[in-house]
Amino acid sequence: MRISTNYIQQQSVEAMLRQQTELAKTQQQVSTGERLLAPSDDPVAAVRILGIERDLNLTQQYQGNADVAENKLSVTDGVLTSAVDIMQRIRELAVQGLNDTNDANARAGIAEEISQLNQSLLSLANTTDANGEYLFSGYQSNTQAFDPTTYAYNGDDGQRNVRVGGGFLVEVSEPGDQIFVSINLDGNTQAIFQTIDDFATALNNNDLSTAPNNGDFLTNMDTALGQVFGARTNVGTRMNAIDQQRAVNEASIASLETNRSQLADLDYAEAITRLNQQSVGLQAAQQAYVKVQGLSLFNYI
Amino acid sequence: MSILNIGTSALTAAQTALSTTSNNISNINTEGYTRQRAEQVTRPANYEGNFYLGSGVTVNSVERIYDSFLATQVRSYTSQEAQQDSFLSYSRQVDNLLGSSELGINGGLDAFFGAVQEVANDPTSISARKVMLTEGELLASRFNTLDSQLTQLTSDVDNDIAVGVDDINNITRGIAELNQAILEAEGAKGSPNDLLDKRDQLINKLSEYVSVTTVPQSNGTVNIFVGNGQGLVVGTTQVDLNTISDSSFDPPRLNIGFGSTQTDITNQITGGSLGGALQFRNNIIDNTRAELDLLAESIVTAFNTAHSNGFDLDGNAGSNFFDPTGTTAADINVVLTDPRQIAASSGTNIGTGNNENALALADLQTDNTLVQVSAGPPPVTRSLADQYGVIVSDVATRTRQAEVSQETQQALLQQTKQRFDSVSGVNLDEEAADLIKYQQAYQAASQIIVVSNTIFDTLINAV
Repeated sequence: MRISTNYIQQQSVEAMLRQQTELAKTQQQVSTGERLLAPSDDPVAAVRILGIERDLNLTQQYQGNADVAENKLSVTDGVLTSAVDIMQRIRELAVQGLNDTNDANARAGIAEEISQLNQSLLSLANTTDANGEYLFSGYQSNTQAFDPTTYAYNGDDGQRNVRVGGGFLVEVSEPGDQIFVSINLDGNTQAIFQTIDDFATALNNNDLSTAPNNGDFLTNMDTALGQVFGARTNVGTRMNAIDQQRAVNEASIASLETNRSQLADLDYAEAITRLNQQSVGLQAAQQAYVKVQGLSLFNYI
Repeated sequence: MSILNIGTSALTAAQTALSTTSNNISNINTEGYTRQRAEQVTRPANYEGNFYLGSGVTVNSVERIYDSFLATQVRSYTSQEAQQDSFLSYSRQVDNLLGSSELGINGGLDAFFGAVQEVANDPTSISARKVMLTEGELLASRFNTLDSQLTQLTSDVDNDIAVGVDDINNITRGIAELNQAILEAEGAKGSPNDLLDKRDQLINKLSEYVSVTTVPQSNGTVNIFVGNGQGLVVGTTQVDLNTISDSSFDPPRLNIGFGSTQTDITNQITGGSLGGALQFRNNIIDNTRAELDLLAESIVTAFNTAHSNGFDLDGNAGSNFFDPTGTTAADINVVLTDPRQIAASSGTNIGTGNNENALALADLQTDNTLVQVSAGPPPVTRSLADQYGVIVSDVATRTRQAEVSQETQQALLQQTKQRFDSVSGVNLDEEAADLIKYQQAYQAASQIIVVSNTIFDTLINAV
């Protein structure tokens, strides 16, 4: 076929431009490490990456939430452990005080110690966290859980939840009334502080003949201790569950990141090979241009 | 007829052919130039009683070597390629905008709902609440920025239309003038090759702006039609296109009017850079803005409803988080200013430590029923992120398609141009060979003159 001289020139120039465009794209891929420079490079993958990134962000948020939940629970756990220690000490002192070998003086001394321990127990129940929120007043976190004089529970039964997984909300607080308020042998429902306070007063007055400030007190203490243990068990169980969920989250983060990388990241080996091929192609096009341009019949006339 | 006369006719013919060849060589780089050839024919023979005696050669005409079928094909592919090219250059911009990590809504949604979760983790923390307000504002501003970028692209399209219409009018005016000149030249004898080249070149240029139909007339003029047969050039008269403002859109946009009546022919315009810009405006801008508006509206409505269900840090009922009147991507904004007013608490056991409503707000992120795409039945709904995914994928797919078809059209255009050039383009080697051929013919003709001179001398000397 007949070819026009201009066409030869144009075709060579266009071939070089095309090679340059492809080379520039590969170069940009290599320098950014991204396989997709715009969604249109692979629409299907681009949209899947969007979904994966959302899930990845969400799961990482759950991991952060799990840290918050675990912190809160471990503070609670620490407080409950101290409360158990104090209550056991009070029970020991009560056993000692109930022993008839004690005279009034000795009983007054024991009563004094029990009162002080009771104050410590009360202040544990009114613990605030780093934000100044009361741990055991349910949703009324700015209100002191137990009134220091009447021992009335001022909180509510709200239990805060934190999301640590797609379908997993975990309770991170225990309302104080479910820990420190119990039903005594005589059917009265009252805060343990009141029960202890009453017993200490009776002990101080050396009057341990009437219920509940006799042997019944030990039973009431055991009921209360049982409740605190129960709360501690709940907290411990939840901390375990969070650990398990954390492992699940970590696994899904790893798999999401692998998926994302497969879709979005550049295969360097392939890209470098392509870069080499394309630069060889461009060089060839340039050399061919120079060769062909030199050919003319006019050189011979 | 004398040898001298025959020799002279040969000399003249060779000279004309050499001139034509030289003209071809000298116009090698002239855009739109079609190679020419001197058509040599025998002169009328003389009847010498018993036989016809040839009387030499003459140049009948200098012709353009031209294939009008290929020329029409080149124009048609030029229009189609220009359309894809213009569409692509626009849709790539939207594609990049939507996919950008700084502007994309997906990043804004993730950051905002992350902040909501932090409030749920720590409902009394004022700083967590402040972060949530800020992230809400940033999300709204991503919407606003995207929308204003899309609006900016609409005004770029307007600009293209205004410039395109101006250029088209200049070109068609030029074609009408050339029609006039060609009409006058064809009245005389011979084909006005250079005028024809110029007119073809103008029609090709016109095809880059818009797809046109050309109808050659027997008197040498060409009529040019656009759209559904609106005549831009009929004979030697030309009709202007003009821009008309369409205020049914916000902001108002330019449409294309025809003639003094300014009939709106925008929807009939296809092909060329104008066709591409209009296609972009209809398919990408309008769609994307509508889908973004739906996404913005869904967020505002769902978030405000859930937020109003709750109670704030001071125990007051929750108000609107987003401005309820700003339900488009352009207008969405956060109306809440006081972080204490974020309604993290639910209605039961209202309290500072209550985070139930914050959890409900955070759950909106993955709620698959939030964006109602169609009322059904059955209703089609999506999550916020999925709706954005659909927007990105729509534009990406259309851009990808345009990329592929632009490559195809470009290849077709190049092939057709090559075929056209193989007929009409100048080949220097060929011209060099012609130069030698006609030079030899000229030398041979000179010999005829010499011979006739020798014969004449012989005769003179014999006397």
